[in-house]
Amino acid sequence: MSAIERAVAAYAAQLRGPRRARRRLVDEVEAHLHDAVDAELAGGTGRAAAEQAVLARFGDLHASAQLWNRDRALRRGASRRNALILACAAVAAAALGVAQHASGRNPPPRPCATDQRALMTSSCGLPSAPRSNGN
Amino acid sequence: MAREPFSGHLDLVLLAALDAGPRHGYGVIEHIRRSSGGHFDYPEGTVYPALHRLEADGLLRSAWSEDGARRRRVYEMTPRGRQALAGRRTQWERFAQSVTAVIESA
Repeated sequence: MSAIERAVAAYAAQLRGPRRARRRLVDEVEAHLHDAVDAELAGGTGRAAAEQAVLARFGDLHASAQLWNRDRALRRGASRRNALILACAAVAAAALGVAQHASGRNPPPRPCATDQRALMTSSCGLPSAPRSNGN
Repeated sequence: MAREPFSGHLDLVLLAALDAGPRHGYGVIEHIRRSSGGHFDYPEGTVYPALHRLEADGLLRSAWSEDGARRRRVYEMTPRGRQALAGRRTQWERFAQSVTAVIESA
């Protein structure tokens, strides 16, 4: 196993997140390292020295993996928070609707007609008139 | 050049490197190195997480490109990325002008 292959394997092992996203990053980094080694070899550097130079320029593998992991974690957290806020808003809206309906102040909307002419004149979707108790 | 002054402006430099057209990560890094006259000596490993972040923010998009036996992910700017670049470029120019004014007044 070459120094590049070892580095790629070590990099892959430090990534956290969905398999497909990790695979994509590893493939990109691997292609980058091979391109960089090819450029060094074309300049007359020996393979071992070329691989060392390329890995030195790439920098700390752990730091790079952590940058990627941190961003993924932040996005995952933000996405969960948004889903939770939406769920809370939906529950609150439903609870408010039920409470208003129960108090008779805001009855549920009339069902909509399905044919075009009825739709032109209908007030469907609007709250129906408050119910009279007939007294 | 020191890494610190560069690191704060990585997004701007990456977007600017993709302004002329699509490039893969290695191409972006080579372009930055050449166009900066070799001044930006930074860890190349920081570029890929940043490219992924900019893509997740909707500023870049990417697709695999088959070039010989090697597959490379090619990045290009989105319209939102171009807007972001214009804004960051303006901010940078204002900042640079202000620093220059202070230095020259000393």
